[in-house]
Amino acid sequence: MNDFRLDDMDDDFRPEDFSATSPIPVSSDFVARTLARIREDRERIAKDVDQLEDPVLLDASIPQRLLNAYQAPEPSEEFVESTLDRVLRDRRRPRHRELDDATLERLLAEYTPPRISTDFVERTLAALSADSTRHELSPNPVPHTRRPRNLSPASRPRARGMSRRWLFAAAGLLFGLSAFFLRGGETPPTRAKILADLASSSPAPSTLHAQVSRELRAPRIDRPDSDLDLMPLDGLLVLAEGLGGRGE
Amino acid sequence: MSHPRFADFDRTRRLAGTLVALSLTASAWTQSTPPTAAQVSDLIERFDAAFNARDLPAIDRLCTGMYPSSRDSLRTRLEHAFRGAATLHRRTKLVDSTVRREYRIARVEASTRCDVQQQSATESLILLVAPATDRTPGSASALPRLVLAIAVDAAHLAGCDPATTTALPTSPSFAATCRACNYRLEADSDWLLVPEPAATAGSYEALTCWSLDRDVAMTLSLHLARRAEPAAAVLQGFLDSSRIDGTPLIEAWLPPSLRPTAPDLAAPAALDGARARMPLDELGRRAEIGFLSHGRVGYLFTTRGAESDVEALGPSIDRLFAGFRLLDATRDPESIATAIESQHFTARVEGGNFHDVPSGVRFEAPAGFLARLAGGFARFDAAWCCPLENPTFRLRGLGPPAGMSTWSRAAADRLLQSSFGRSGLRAETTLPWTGPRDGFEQVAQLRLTDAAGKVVRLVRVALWTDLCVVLEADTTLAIGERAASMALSTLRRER
Repeated sequence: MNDFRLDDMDDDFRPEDFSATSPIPVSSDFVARTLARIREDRERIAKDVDQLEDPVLLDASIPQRLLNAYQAPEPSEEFVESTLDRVLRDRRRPRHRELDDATLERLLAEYTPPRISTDFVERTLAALSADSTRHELSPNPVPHTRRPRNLSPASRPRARGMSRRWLFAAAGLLFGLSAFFLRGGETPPTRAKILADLASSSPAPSTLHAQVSRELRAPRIDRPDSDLDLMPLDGLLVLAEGLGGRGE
Repeated sequence: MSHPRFADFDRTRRLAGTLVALSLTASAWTQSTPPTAAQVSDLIERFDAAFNARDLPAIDRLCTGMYPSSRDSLRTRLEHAFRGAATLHRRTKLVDSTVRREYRIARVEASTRCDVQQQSATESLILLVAPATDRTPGSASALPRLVLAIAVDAAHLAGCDPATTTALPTSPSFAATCRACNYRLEADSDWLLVPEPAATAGSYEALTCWSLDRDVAMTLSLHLARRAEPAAAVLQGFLDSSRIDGTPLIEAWLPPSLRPTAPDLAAPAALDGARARMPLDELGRRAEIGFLSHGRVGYLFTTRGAESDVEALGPSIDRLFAGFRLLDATRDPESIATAIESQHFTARVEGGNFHDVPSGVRFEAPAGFLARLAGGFARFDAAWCCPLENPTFRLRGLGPPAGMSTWSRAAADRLLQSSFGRSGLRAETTLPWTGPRDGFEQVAQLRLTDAAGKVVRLVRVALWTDLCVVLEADTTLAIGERAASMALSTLRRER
């Protein structure tokens, strides 16, 4: 359990890892290794969490200042109204205001998902650890730390936060990968998946172009990805062709 | 014998009488009086008789050539109907009528029945009837003749908002007002306003103004966009997607009532307009498209006619555009869009869950797609799109063929087969109907292939009395055939 060493990792994310001009190479066994790593860590993380919930440890005194660091703020009187107002205003705001269709299409066409390096998992875990240490838990934050095994009362909140972050990160990865495989895996969950969750139901335009084409009797340029062009049937012609009978 | 003193007077009197008689005769030739309601009834009786006899030349003789494009459309439609094997019987009833200038405008209900199929199709029509041009009894031209026959749907606009006051063409008022849609269009007596049937209009609502003088028409239709776009971009999008010759110039434009009244004034910030003129065909027809956007709300003006007719009617067309105004140009456009949607949408979409309350149709799309509702001739129209806005799933509920009250399998087959042809797709089999199933009377599902034989679409069709539900899934984008099939199987109807 907990057999990795921070000495083997980089200190932080490398900026070039997320640059579109220098994509990170992805190894062919990335998914398999990630899944294996997650499964391997689940048991260890669960034990860590159990240890954190140990009533003996919880009895120890913890400075209120540290506990407050994890305490959610009390909602204000107008919290519900202001949140609702913000949501409604956000829904009314046109999406992609800054990007027109052509720009968005071009950007997506040019976008290539970055390839992930072989040490991506290790560096991600290290970054999570580093992030947890940057949290305001200790007057003297530790730049890098191993996952706490024998927890002292003073380090418990930090460790609890760190372990939960691990748990959430692992759960998130597991959920994403599971969803990908459950959906069939024919295509990467990129365009349909990444941005789709951003939007809820929104009204769409009526078929403006179809209306104009019909009025002008100007034929449309069919695209291979067009929907079926369903046109209303003329009842008179349906009758004339003998298609109206219901005795079938 | 008259006194000699009065002989000249008698001659003068006879001469004057002759002149008056000649004058009245000439007046009868040059001045036309509108047809009476009885004459219109007689005209539609003759029309029905010719229809039932499949006598197209007789129908031609009942029509004028004033609107060649409309006459040709009517003739093409009747030719198609007469080629069919079914025996049809048509009966038309005059509902009401009024006089406009030298014409009589009549609203009629025409019912065409096929006894073998035990079905009928009923149309509500507005007829524009021209006066007789020859008073000679027995002459074919001594009868009033049909200028226009236009399908009308007064209920469509009336249903848009309780405060809507769209006058029927047979009423003395020549205006359409829709408070929900925030516009009013007034026309003078040179134009005939006819609301288009919801079953055929491709927009939230539409009305067409027909000139009483020449073969020119202007259609005003209402549209909603997903987001506010420059009007010029909307027009450019149409031009890019249509086979229009040349590269029409798009210019900034606003209806007269919305133009700033002084050079230093500006139109309301949310308003944007553009216009383009373009030739339509080799016969000299041309079109002018104007688009006014008010936030997401779009008003589309399409004027079409022969170049010479449009030029000749220039002042009249200008007056017609001057009759358009927004009821409140400062109103928040988003509130207008919301009002229109609340009036037109009966379906609710929350993420992947679709539910159309009136019909009970439900569908569960996979998570992760952008859900959208659209307006048009369909009773409901929802799409779930990938970020490039290509619909991966599209669900449409269609009412029966125009004028009919129910669907049949054969009619649904025709609807789909014709759409496959237009889309360049082929069905692997005929529709394999089964049912009752999933709350529907009939259900069928099939795969569509492209020209290369690759399966590109799954389509599930379901029928319920007066509703045909078409659910399609594009298997080339974000989802595979197996997952698409699983999603399609969630289509059901629950009451």
